[in-house]
Amino acid sequence: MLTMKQWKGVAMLATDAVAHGSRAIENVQLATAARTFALLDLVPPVAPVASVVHLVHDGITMASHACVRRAAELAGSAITGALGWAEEDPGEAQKPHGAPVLPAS
Amino acid sequence: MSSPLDVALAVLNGAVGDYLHASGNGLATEMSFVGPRPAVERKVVVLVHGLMCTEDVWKQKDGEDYGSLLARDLGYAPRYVRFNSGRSVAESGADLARLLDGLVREHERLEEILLVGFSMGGLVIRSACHHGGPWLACVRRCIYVGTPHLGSPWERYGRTLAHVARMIPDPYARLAADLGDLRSRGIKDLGDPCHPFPLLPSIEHFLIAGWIDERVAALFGDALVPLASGTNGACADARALPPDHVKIVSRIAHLDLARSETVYRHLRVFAEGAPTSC
Repeated sequence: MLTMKQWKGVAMLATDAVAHGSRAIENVQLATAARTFALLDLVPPVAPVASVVHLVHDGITMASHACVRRAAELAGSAITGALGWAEEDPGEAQKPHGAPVLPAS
Repeated sequence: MSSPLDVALAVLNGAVGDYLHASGNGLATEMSFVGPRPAVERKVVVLVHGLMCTEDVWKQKDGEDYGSLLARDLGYAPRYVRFNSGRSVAESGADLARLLDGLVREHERLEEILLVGFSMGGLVIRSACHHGGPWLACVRRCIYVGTPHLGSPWERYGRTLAHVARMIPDPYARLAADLGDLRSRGIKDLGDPCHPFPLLPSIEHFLIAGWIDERVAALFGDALVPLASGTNGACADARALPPDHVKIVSRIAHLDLARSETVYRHLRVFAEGAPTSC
């Protein structure tokens, strides 16, 4: 059975894997699209429209992947936070906080 | 006995353990002694596993292992090390040196430490000896089983493949190269054609290597470690007569070297000898 520390590690690893994977896929998508649009740029009638579409394509791609990474980061933080909260000793959480009450002299 | 989770963590640590350690991830394995702790009198045998393994790599079909057999035959108290095999060999060596330091401090009557390393574990032992410490005075012999002293060609092939893929002007080839480069520092260290730390002359070193097929023994050895690498360059040919401190086991695969009766017979002969006080 995984310990709480290891569960946190799993959440951290999954978050990092999504972030790195998303960045790698984004680079492939941008590079692949750049090749296609480079060919379209050679065709005079479509070149001006193609460069605008290229810009929009790249913008949407980058924004989408940034959203994926941000969502993964938030989910990772939420899971880690929840695990940290669950890890706390319930008996400790029920103890009253603040200054101890001194007996009346 | 390792659970399936322990084995999964060992594989994960071997693959990306350097990253897990550097990022403070809770899945990173800390080096420690595992398993039962028999009473230590005068002699201890410390067994260090290889890449992506746990101490279970030593287990034979009948439940015995080199540690328990050395305890029965020669009175050594066995201690099994578990570590993050994805970290660099030098870092793991420094950790092992610290662990052995603690062992010596804990047992003041300790007279002899016998170090047995399988595959990468042997390189970690070499690094630990280079790192040194008060415990080193107790070490008379080190036994390396299937250890790639001159590196593993498979890691070098992988390194070349990643390099070639990176030179291809294609995003998918670059992605493949990036994925290949994710492998841990520990795996990359196995490609080094020469271990950075020499074998200490103050210790006796014994090597056990194996080969699967005589015709390709020099090239492939036990399938992962070629004969020349397993014998630290002493024997490149399976038919050559090995020197006294080297034993070559025939028709055996790499992992089987860690749990073979034939290997144990050689290991026992190497381990025998009058211990000297430290």
